[in-house]
Amino acid sequence: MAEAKSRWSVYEHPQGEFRALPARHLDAAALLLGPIWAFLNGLILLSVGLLIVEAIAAAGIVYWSKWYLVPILLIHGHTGFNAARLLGRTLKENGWVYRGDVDAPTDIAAAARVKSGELEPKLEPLTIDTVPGPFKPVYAIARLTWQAAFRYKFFWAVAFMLVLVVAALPLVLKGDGTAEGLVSVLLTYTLAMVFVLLGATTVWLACGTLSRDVAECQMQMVATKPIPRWQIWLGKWLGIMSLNAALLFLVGISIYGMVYFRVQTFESNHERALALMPADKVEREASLHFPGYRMPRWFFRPWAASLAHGWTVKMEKDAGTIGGSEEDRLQELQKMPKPEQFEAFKVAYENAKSTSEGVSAPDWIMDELRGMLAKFELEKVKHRTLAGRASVKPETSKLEEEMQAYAARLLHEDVSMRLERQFWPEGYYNSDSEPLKFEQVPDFKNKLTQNLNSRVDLIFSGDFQPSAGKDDLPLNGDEWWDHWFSMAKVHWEAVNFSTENLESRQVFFFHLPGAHSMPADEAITLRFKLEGFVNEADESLRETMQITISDTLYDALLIFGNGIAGARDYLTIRTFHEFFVYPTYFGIDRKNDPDRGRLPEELKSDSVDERDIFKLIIVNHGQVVDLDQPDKRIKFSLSIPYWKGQLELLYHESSFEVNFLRSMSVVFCWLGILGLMGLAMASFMDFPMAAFACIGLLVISLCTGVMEQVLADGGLRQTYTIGQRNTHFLDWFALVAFKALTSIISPLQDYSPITSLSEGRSITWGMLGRAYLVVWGLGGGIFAAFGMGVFSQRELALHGKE
Amino acid sequence: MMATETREQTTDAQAGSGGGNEVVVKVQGLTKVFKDFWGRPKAKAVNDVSFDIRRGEVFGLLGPNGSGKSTTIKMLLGLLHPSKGQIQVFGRSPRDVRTKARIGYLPEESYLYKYLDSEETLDFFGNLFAIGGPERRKRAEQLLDMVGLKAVHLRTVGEFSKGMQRRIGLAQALINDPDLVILDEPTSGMDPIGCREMKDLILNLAERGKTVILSSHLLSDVEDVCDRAVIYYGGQVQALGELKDLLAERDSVRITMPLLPKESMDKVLDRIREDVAEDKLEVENPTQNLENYFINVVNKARESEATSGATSGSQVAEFLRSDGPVKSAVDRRLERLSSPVAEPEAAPELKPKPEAPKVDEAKLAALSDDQPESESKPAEPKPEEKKKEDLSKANEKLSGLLGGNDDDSK
Repeated sequence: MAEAKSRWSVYEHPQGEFRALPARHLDAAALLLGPIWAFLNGLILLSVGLLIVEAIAAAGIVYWSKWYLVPILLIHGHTGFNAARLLGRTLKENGWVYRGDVDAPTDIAAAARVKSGELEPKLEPLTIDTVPGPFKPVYAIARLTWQAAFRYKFFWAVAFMLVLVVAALPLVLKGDGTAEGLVSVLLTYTLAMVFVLLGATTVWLACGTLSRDVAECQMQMVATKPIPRWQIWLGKWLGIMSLNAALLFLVGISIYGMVYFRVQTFESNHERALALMPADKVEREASLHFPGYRMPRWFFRPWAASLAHGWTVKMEKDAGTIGGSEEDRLQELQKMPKPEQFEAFKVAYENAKSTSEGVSAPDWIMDELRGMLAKFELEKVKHRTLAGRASVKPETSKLEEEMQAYAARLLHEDVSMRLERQFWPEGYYNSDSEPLKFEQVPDFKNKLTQNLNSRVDLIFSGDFQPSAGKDDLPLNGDEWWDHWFSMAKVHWEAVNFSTENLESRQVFFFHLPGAHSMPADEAITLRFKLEGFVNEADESLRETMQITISDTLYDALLIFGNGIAGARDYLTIRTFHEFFVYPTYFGIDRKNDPDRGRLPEELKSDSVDERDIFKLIIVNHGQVVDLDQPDKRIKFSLSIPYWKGQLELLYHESSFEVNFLRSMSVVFCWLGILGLMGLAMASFMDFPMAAFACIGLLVISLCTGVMEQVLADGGLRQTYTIGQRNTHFLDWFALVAFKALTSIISPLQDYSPITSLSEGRSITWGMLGRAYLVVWGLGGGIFAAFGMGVFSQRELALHGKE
Repeated sequence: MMATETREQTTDAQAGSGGGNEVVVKVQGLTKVFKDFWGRPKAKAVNDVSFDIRRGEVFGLLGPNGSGKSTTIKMLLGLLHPSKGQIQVFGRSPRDVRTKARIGYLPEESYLYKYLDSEETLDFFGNLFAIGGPERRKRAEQLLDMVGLKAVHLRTVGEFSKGMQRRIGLAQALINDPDLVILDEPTSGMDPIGCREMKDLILNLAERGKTVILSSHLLSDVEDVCDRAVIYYGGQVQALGELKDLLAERDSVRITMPLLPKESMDKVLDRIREDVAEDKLEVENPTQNLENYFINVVNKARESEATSGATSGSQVAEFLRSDGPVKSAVDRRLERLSSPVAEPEAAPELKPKPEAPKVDEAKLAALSDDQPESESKPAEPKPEEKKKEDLSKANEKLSGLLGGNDDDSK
C-alpha cells in the first residue's frame, strides 16, 4: 500500500542538522489555538503578544461590544494562514537555511531523506500568489512602506502615541458633568488629536518616502524596472494609506472602547453621586423646584412619564385623594394630555411633600427620582451622542417667494422714506396705496440705480445738496434690494413677544416620511438655537451684537403637534436647545387645523401625509428678570436662525457603531488628500522643501475665510472715496487667485466628521460618498494628476549621491 | 506562475529573437547638457556620442572620472533625458516599460533599501517584474546561493559590507533573467573571488546570448571580458572598437612553452638574435596571475574556517545557466592574447610546484633575499623552507584581508 505523503519544508542548519516543517496553506491548530500553538512551537514572544491582545479583546466583548470579536478572528486567521511562514522565519532567524519542499510521510522521514540525499528538495515553495500579476509592482511599492515602517519602529512609535492620546489622556477629561457632555468632549478631543497626529504623520511620511528615495537614489533602482512612474507614485500612496488604515483601526477600537468605558464609569459614579445627593438638589435636578406646572424634559420620555403615573397614583393613594381603583386612575392619567399628566403628578408631589414630616417628599419618591434621573442621563447619551442622527429641516424653498414679496414692500417703503422725492423711480409712486410687487423689482432696481447715479453726479457737481441723514444711501438698486431681502429673512426669523399661546412663530416639518409609523418610544430631537433679535441685515454684525444682549433666561413655550404636548422652559440665548419629541406628537388635522390659513402651500394638498407633519409653535413670553418673580418679564424679541438651518429635527438614522465607522472613513478620506498633497510636493522637491510647501498649503487652506471676505468685498482695499471702493491692480490678481483657491478648497472643508460625531449627527452613506468624491475626486485628483505628471517627467539621476 | 509567464518574457519576445548581429542598443548623436535652475547650460557631460551594441556582446565603457560613462548609462536606463540625439534599446525608447522588462541594472553604488534583508530585496524586485510567487522565491533562492549570501539572507542590506551589497545588487539585476545587463563598476568593493565570479558570470551571460554593458575603471576587468569597448574622454568618444583590434601589438610576438634545457634555449635565442636587436628581445618566466593565486589560498582556507560574511558563490543560478561550457575570464583573455598560460582551474597547492618557477624575478625579490641567477639561466625552484615561510606571510596578509572583510560587514 502506498504510504500517505504530506508536503514538508526542509531546513538545514549550518552544523548539518535537518528539520522539516509542515508546508500547508492553513494550519488548523494555529487557526484554532493561536497563542497556545505559538507557545508549543517555541514562538514565545508571539504567544505572549497574542495572549495580551486576545485578553483585551475578550474584555471588550464582555464589557463593551461584540465587535471586539473581530480582532480575535483576525489574529487567529493570521496565525492559521501564516503558521508555516512564522515557523520558517523563526528557524531562519536562528541560522537555518531553507532547502526546499519535499513530499514525505513524516517530518522525520522528510528530514532524513533529504539529509541522506535520497530526496532532492524541490525548489518550488508552497507560496500563495495572492496578488494578481499586473498589480504586483504596485503591491511591492506599497508593501515597502510597511516594511520601512516596521523596520524603523515607526509604526509602533505612532501607534503608541495614538493609543496614549486616545486611551490615557482622556481618562483625565471631566466634561461638563453630564454623560452626554463627557462623550461629546471625549469624541471631539480624541478625534481631533488623532486627525492632527495622523495628518502630520501622513504629510511627513508622504514627503519623506518619495523625496528620500529620490535623494538616496533607491528610486533609480525602482524606476529602471518595468513599472510606470505613475504606478510607483500610486504604490507609495497606497502604502501610506494602508498604514493609515491600520493605525485608524487601532485607534478606532481604542476610542470606541474608551467611550463605552467612560460612559459606564460615569453611570456608576453618577448613581453614587445621586444616592448621596440631598433631596432638594434631587428636586432641582428633576426640575421640580419651579413653581407651577412647568413640565420638565424628562417627563417627555414615555417610560419616565409611565413611571411618574405610578408614582402619582401611589402618592394619591397615600394621601387618600384617589377616587376609584388604582388601575382606573392609571388609565385615566395615560389618556390625559401631557401637561395635565404632569400637573396631576406635581399636585400629588406637592401634597406628599407638604404632608411628609421633612421638608421634602417621602424618601421612596426621592429614591425613585434618583433612579429615573440616572437612567434619563444615560438615555440622553444613548439617543443624542451615541447615535447617528439625521437631520430634517423645515422647507424653505416656498418661503423664498414669501420673502421676495415682503422684501419688495420693505424696499418700496424704505426708498420712499429715505430717497428725495425727485429721485424716486418713475412710475412707482403714482399711487401710494399700491405696494411694489416682486415682478416689478427688476425694473424698479434699474430705475433706482439710474436715479442714484444722477444724484451722485449732481452732488459731485455741487448742484445738489443731500438732506441731512440721506447721505449714506446704497450705491445702486441691487445693493438696496439685497439689503431688504436679507432684512425680510431676519424679520421672518423673529419670535416676537407674545403673552398668548399659538400667536407666535409656527414652523412645519414634513420631510420625515413614515414618522407616524415609528415606534412610539422613538426619541426624535428638536434642536434649535435661540438668539436675541437684532434688526440688522449684516449677519456678522448681528452675531457681534448678540454679545451685548443680556444673557439671562427667556421664558419660552414650545407646542408640538396639535397642542397635545408642549414644553415651557427658561432658555438661554446664544445656545442650542434640544427637546425630545415622539412620533405621537406628529400629525395635524389638515381640514380642521386652526392655522389652516397659515399652512404652507405644499401642505394644503394631500401630497404630504398629514400624519407625518410636525407642527412647532414657539411662543416668546419675554425675558425673565428674577426666577422668584416669574411673572415679572421684559418684552424682548427672540430669533431662531432659521435660514442658517439652526432649527431641525434629528432622528435616529444609524447606530453609533455605523456612524463611528463612517466618521473614521471621513477622517481616512482627509488623510488621503494629505498624503496626495505630500507626494505631489515630493514629486519635484527635496524633503525639507516639500514639507515646507505642504505646511504652506495647509496654512492657505485655513485662510479661506479671509479669501471669501475679499471676494465678497470685491477687492483687497477697504477704503472708499465718495462712496466708491478704492481699487488697486493687485485686486485683479487677488480676486482671480482667491476665486480659484476658494472654489477648490471650500467644498473640501464641508466634510468635518468630528463635529458631526460629537453631536451625534449621522454621517450618511451619501455624505460619505460625496466626501470621497469631492475630497479625493476633486482635491486629490488635482494633486495626483500633478504629482504623477511631474514625477513621470522628472530626471531621477540628478540628485543625491550623483 | 511559471517563469515563462513573467512580464519580461511575455512582452515582445520578437525583439530579442534576432541573430548575433541584432542591434540591441543604438545610440546616435547622444548629447547631454546639464542645466542650472534657470535653464542655463552648466556642463556638457556627453557630446555627440554614437555607437551600436549587438546581441551577445560584452561591451565596455571606459574613461576617466567625469568622462560621461555614467551619464550615458543613466540615459540608456531612462533616468536622464538626452538633450540631443537618440537612444533605442531593443528598438524602443529606454523609458518604455517593455524595454525595462528586459534590462538588468547594477549601479555603481548600492542603491538598495537598507532596511530590507537580501531575501526581501529580491522579493521586492521580483515583484516589480511581476514574477509569480513560487518562481520568484525559487529564483531568489538560486540567486542568493549564486552570490554567496544564502547564509546571511536575513541580515538587512544596511548591515552588509560593500562587497556583500554589490553581490545582492548583482542578484537583483539578474532576477528577471535580463536580455541586457548594464553593470556599472560591477567589481568595485568586491574581493578577488567575487571579481572572478562576476567576470565568469558576465561571460556566462554572453554565452547565453545576453548583452552586457560594462562600465569600469578597472581596465583588467574590461580586458578580461569585453568584446568591444568605447573609451570616453571629456564626454566624447576617443576610441571605439573590438578589444582585439584596439590592443593588438602587430609588430611583436610572445611565445610561451615548457622550460627548455639551457643549451636549447641558447640556441633558440641565438637564432632570434640574428633577426632581432638585443634591446628588442625580452625573455622571462611567465608568472601566475595574483587573482588565481588569491583564489587558491582562499579556497584552501574556506575548507577549515567559517565566515559571517559572504561565502563564495556556488554555480550560476539554474535559470541563468547556459547549456554549453563557458570559458572563464582568463580563458578568454588568453585566447585573445593567443598565448597559453598555466591552467587557472588546476587545483591550487600552497607549496610551489617544483617543475615550474612561476614567479618573476621582481616578485621573487620581494619574497626572497636571494638574488636571481643570470637572465640566461632558467629560474631554479627555491628551497622548500624559504618558500613556506614566504607563503605563510602571504597567507597572513590574505587572512587579514578576509578577516577585514568580516569586520566590514558590521
